Amino acid sequence: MNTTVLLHARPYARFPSALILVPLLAPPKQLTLPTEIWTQIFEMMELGDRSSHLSAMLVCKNFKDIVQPLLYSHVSFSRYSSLESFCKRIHDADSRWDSLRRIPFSAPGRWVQSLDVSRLELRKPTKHRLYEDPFDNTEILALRVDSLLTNLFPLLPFLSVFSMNPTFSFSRRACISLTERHGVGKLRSLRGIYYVPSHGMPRDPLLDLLQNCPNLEELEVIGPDIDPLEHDTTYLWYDGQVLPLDLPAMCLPKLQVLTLLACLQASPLMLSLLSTSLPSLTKLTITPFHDIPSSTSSLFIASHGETLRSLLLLSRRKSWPSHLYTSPTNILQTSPNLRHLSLEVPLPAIELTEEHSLEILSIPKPSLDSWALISRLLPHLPSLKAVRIRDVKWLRKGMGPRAMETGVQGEMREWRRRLARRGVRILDSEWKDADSV
Amino acid sequence: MVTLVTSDNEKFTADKEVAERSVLIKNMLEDVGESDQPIPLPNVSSSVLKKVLEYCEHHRGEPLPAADADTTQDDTRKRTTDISEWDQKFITVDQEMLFEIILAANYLDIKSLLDVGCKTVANMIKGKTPEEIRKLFNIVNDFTPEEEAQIKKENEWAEDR
Repeated sequence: MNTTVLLHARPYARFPSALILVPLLAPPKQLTLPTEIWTQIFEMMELGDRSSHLSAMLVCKNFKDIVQPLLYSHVSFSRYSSLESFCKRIHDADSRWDSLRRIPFSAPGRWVQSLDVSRLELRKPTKHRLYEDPFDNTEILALRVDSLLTNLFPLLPFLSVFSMNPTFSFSRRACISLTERHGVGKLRSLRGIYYVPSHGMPRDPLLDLLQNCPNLEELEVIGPDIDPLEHDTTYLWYDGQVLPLDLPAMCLPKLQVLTLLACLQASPLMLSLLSTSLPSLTKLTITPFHDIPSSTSSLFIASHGETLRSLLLLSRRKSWPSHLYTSPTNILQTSPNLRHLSLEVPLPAIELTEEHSLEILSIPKPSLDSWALISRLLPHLPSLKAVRIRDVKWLRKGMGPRAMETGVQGEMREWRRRLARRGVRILDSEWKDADSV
Repeated sequence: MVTLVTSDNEKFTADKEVAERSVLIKNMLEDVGESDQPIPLPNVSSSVLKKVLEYCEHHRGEPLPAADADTTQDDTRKRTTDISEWDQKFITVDQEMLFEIILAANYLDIKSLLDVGCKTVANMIKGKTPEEIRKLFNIVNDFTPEEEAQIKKENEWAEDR
């Protein structure tokens, strides 16, 4: 193609001139990528890499259109002010959204798929800790966060992952707001929910929510910390016969990971879960609470053990002397498919007469009791690959040989020598071998 | 052996196993059946096809991602911007060639090569200012200063990490 451009200056002059237009710079060979490839590129950036997304958004309008939905798809907050300005942005955009749009849900609210406030700091950092005001505004801030979330949920119709900060309660109104919003069935993961059982109330908002979440895959609920020996806990007792309320059966066919921490004993949630079929449950983390007669934790482990691959017993409070009774001794029989079992003190006197396919056994700390348990179980655990010490880390290599050989460290190294003969490794709290520290 | 013809009419022969790392070529061969006919690739130049074949040759025999790959696996594939040492060396080319490789991988449907290309561009963008990104890819800023300020204001929340 001939691209020569002639400039005809003074065309009516006696000697009209024709000048060739010469480009000042050679046109750069411009090779651009189509939008779908740019989308893939931005998707590859780490989810938390917001600064790169922010920079990319300011490059040009095309990039903004691609990056903006990605920036809003997974949001997390550590500061209250950021959460506040995020909520304001969502509300402002929603108020400008008119009914003529093709999509009824306003953007950017509809782009949000995951909301994480688990790291939210409610205490303002003060320079002088000594002069810290004892009447700080933590509670007011917690209330504000709750209000923000309550008003935010209805504008996030595609929210599928929500992580709450369990240090403050997830209120009834926030829970109802999450339940009543459009798209509640899309929820796949609910974590960090601090749950105070509503005894005697006609409806439990968390149960209402869970009833509407058939696609839930992960649930983490933390109950109140109650020491059963110090409190009047009669209301926590469940006699195993009559359910205190007319509890609805839940439908959670996809629930794989369940965490029930602290005291959730005869709470409506626990009782309802007890009677719910959980066919996909593979990982359970539960606070044992065996000091309570007819502990629902034990019942739960026994009734849902069939599909479990990983069972972690975990106490939240290390208060003495509350834990007198051990976990059930038949855990391995009720959970035949278990691959990882993490025990809590006092260790149960687990008995095994047949072989079990357990691969990892976790114990809190090395002790004579735990060694006795391991050596008793070892002949029946042909697949055992590792014993993990849950609460202890290996000392770094630079430490002196004496430090390495004394106390808990020495014990762990001794165990390591003994178990190496059977091909079983000793791992520390970070799942590391002594050699890799 | 398969014969491939590039946009500049150059012929390349490659092992069937190597050429079939491209889903496009694989499907073509399946549709055509046994044939000595060369396959025209009008969207790929010879210099780019040479590089693409070099990549396919090095990765021959590796399992191909399934068409209906698990979404969670897909997520992990996407989210890590790590590139293996050989791939990194392979993709160290000028920007024009990099874009050409990405376009060719997209056209030929070679997922792993497209990923390597996209990850490389993602790594180039990481940590850069908008102005640096514009300069890098020769992009014109089509925002007015007011629009730019508005975007910054609306997304202030995102500075919380």
